Amino acid sequence: MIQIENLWKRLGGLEVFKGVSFEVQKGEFLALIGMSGTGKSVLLKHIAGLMKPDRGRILVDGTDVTRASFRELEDIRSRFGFVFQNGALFDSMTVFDNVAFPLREKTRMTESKIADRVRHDLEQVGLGGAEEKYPSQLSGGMIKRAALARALVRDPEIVFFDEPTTGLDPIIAKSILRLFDSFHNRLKLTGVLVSHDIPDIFGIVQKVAMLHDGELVALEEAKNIQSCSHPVVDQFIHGRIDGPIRYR
Amino acid sequence: MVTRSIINVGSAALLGLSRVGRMGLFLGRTIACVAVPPLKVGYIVRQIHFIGWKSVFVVCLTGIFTGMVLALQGYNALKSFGSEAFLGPMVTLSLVRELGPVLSALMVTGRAGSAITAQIGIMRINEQIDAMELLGLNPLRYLAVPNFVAALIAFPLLAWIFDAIGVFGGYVVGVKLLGVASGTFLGEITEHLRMRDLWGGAVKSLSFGAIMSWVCCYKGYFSAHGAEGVSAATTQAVVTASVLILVWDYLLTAVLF
Repeated sequence: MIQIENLWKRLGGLEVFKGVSFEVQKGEFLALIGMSGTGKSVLLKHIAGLMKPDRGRILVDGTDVTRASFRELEDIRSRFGFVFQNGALFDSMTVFDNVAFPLREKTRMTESKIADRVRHDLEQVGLGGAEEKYPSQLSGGMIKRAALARALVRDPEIVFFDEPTTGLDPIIAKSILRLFDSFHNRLKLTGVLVSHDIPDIFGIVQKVAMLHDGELVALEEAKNIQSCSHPVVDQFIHGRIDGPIRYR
Repeated sequence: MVTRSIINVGSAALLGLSRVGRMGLFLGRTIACVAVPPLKVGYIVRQIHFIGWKSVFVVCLTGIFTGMVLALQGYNALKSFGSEAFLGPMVTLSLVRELGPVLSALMVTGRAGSAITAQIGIMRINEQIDAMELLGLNPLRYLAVPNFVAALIAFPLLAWIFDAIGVFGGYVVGVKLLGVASGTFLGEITEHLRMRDLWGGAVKSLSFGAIMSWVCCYKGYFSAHGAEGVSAATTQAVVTASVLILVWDYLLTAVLF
């Protein structure tokens, strides 16, 4: 479904990707892990067409996102949902309007059907009763839930999660991951998750890819990743201070 | 050393050209979005309220004092030629042709333009613009177009308000304080003021509205990251828009009047 082929990108004099290649199959949930600043979020933005690589291709069901026209990109994006690290909710709108916004702008649904759908989705993410609140009135966990509701409201096929649990306490973080898992299983979504929640994420994804120094150093089944013998993966997953990863 | 200098000059020129090109593309895309429906009417009305209605007070305040000062200075100058009768036309034509459009545009740029840049800049750094794109929406339709259309509507109206209040201020100073006959003041205005002056002022205001919304939206849309980036974008937007308004005013004056 998503094929990343020989991706190269240089940002601010730093080689972020040095020929990264991997695939995500339909219905698969893949976790992208790696040190902070290794380009995980940048990779998500490349797949979503928000950034362009210096070289390489990103195919979504055969369409090259890096060379897609505005219309093609619009079509591809209509199949995407994206949960940003900070939620990226529209701060001048209420939670209800944030979730209703894609439906109002991109569908011909009536306002009453939109209201039903939005209330239903907000209930699903545990935000029933918070419809009239503004993003500034929400806690971190509520923002992530509202962002998830907005990302899923148009029934996307592919969902990207950019560090959805960063800054949350462990209980809320687990509840958010459980929410993703239930949506993934129920809706059969294809998903790419960027997260540092190790080992919790290994229980909800099928595959794990690790980026390090611009390269993909591992692409393993989630059940095998903790026994991966690659020294970089081993050090990172087990949080060892000593090893091949040097802290800057 | 010489090679290094040539490289530096060339790089600076290329950077400048690419910025101008990017600004031009931004304007072109915005105009294309205005031309191709749908227009977001609700957003446009909201921005007319923000740019236009909320600027009325400051425009009235600057307008009345500008008219009063013009009358005071003009009266002293005209008196030395024995031409106090022309105080009305002097105040009115100065306001309608020049000061009304320019000063109202500068005031609105300072008040609303800076806020537009800051708002769009914050949306940029909080990834709200990225979110819009990923929802399959064109952010220009929601951010640039409403401001552009609203400024085109609000700027001429604000300039006319500025003119009217300014003439009133000039009337109060000229007639009530300095003793110019009311009939002379108003009669000479109707004698010398032509429709062409009013339309010329309106054309200026329209173009100033386009400049303000274009520059302020552009600077916010491409603001750098962090609070510092938004702050710098806001300052640059107000300075650039104000300078462009003054330069464009000179060019238009040379053509129109």
